[in-house]
Amino acid sequence: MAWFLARRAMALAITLLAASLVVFCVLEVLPGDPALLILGTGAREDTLAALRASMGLDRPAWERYLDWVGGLMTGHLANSLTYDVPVLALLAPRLAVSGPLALMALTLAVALAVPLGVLAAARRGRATDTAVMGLSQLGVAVPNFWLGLLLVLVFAVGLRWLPAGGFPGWEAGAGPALAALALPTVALALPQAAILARVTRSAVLEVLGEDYMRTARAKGLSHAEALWRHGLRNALIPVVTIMGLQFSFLLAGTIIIETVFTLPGVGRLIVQAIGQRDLVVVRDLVVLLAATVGVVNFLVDLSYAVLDPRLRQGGAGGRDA
Amino acid sequence: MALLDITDLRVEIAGPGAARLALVDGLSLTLERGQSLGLVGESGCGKSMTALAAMGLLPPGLRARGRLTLDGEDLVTASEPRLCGLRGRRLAMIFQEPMTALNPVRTIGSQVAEGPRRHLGLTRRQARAHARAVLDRVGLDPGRFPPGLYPHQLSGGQRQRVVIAIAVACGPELLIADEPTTALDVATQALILDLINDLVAERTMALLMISHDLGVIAETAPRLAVMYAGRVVESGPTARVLAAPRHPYTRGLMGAIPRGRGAPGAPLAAIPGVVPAPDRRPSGCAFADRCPRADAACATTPALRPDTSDQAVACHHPHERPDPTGSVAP
Repeated sequence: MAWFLARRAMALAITLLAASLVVFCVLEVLPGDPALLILGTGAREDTLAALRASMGLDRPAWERYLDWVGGLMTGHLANSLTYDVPVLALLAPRLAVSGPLALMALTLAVALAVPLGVLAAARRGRATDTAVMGLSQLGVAVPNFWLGLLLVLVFAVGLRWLPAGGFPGWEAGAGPALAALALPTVALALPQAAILARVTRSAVLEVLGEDYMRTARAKGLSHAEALWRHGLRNALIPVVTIMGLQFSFLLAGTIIIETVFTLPGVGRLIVQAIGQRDLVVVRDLVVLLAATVGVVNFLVDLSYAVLDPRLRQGGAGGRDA
Repeated sequence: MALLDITDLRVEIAGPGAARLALVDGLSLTLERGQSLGLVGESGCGKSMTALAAMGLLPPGLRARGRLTLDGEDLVTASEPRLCGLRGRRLAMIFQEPMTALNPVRTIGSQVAEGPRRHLGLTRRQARAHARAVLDRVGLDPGRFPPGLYPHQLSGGQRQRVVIAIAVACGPELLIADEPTTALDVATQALILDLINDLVAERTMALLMISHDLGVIAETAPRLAVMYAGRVVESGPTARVLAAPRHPYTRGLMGAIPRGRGAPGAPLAAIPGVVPAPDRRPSGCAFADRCPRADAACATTPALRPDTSDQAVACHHPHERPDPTGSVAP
């Protein structure tokens, strides 16, 4: 188990290192001079040079890379080019919006998809199955920004139950804040739930045909008990895998959904930073997103070990009789 | 009353229309309390379907018809909750594939304890102790094989011992063993058969031993029934049937056993042709196409007729019975 964890942690570290290198190199070769951007095209050459020197841009690339990565690891991030405040100060309030949004969307997606997928599998070929699969087909096909607009039209403009966009801040109280996040959560979660429900259904169908399910039934367990006690945990292994892969799509989705609902989240911050050529913010945020995806996949690997005892030990089993 | 009484059992592919395919086609057999019966036949002749029909665990799309009673209670018409109460408690089954018959993500102890906890009204702790004792009985000493092990930590033979422990944990009256040694190596096969024999003797269980291997049947069952294409074609005391098979199919089956005699490389005796698929069975005797003795009479289905020596055969032209003094014809 310790070995398994160590290997996974090592893989995570290497992934992050690679991501930071790629981000740094891409931004390095991109045209555009930050000093020129700050001072404007009318600036004098010696002023530009002085600013470059004060920003450290005259130093060799590898030195700046090490500085940056060192800063990332110790939490000392550089200042935003646009706002001249530390990126962390810019990021913190945004995370307070995007973090809960992503978590709530993921929770809602799982809470909808797993029971529906299991139900569809258990009622294979019957009306319930057809209905669940039809809806999920629809869910997979509909893009989430369009779904977001539709939700605004119905629940904000039409029924006036929920705000159409904007975020009052958590200091306004949990109620209004959650109300503001409700529609974006649903818009993010439904397409994810649709895919997960399909994966769950096929995973459960596969498990239903396994020999050990028949063994369980031969003990006297009912169909539902056998599915619950013996099938679900085996079926969850592929479901968790897809959940991990989907998480990066969920993050990409927040960028769009935050724009649709004008939420001050991390996604919008990235869009703005790109528009303003605030490369300091862009590179930090991209690495942050990569790290989030990396950590989520690390957690997925951990959950495999919890779900499947065969992965807990390095060597294969088999004792001699 | 016989413990297991099967009369005219048909296992059909469910569906509309009169021409339903029957995988088991009019099978009858009885098994008395505490006795052992071997059911032998080629792959695809309906042995496993008969076993699954008795357990009420036919795969989706298949349906049993006819009479199939356990201690007088009809299992074909019994409700699903009623069957759940019987399975594991009064009748239990050992499966062919020990590598896949166990749940890979649960410990062997918990898999054995599940039946007793449900059927014997034991607490969690009692069920765990019970499982430990049963695992010990089937040869998995808790010192070397703690109940906390997972199936992947065991070999095939050890896993089959766990499957057997699951089956006998609640002391069933009827044990169905469907090819319990087919997936195992020869040395392990003998150990597993000994274990099944011992358990059957000490717990006075009835045993329905299903195998394609006449050797396995000879070692475990004093009586046997030979199946061909969904029906019983010959039955009787194992020793007598094996010494003097009367049905041409049984005779062919025995002739096909490699005995290490004859020159190396010499072809083995084989029954010409293959078992007809359920949708290709000829009307009348299903073996007629492959039978050296077949003639016009074989266009009608022969009934299973008992002779005076407790042996029964379903054939229009059976081989002669050896003379009544008991000496066996060559």
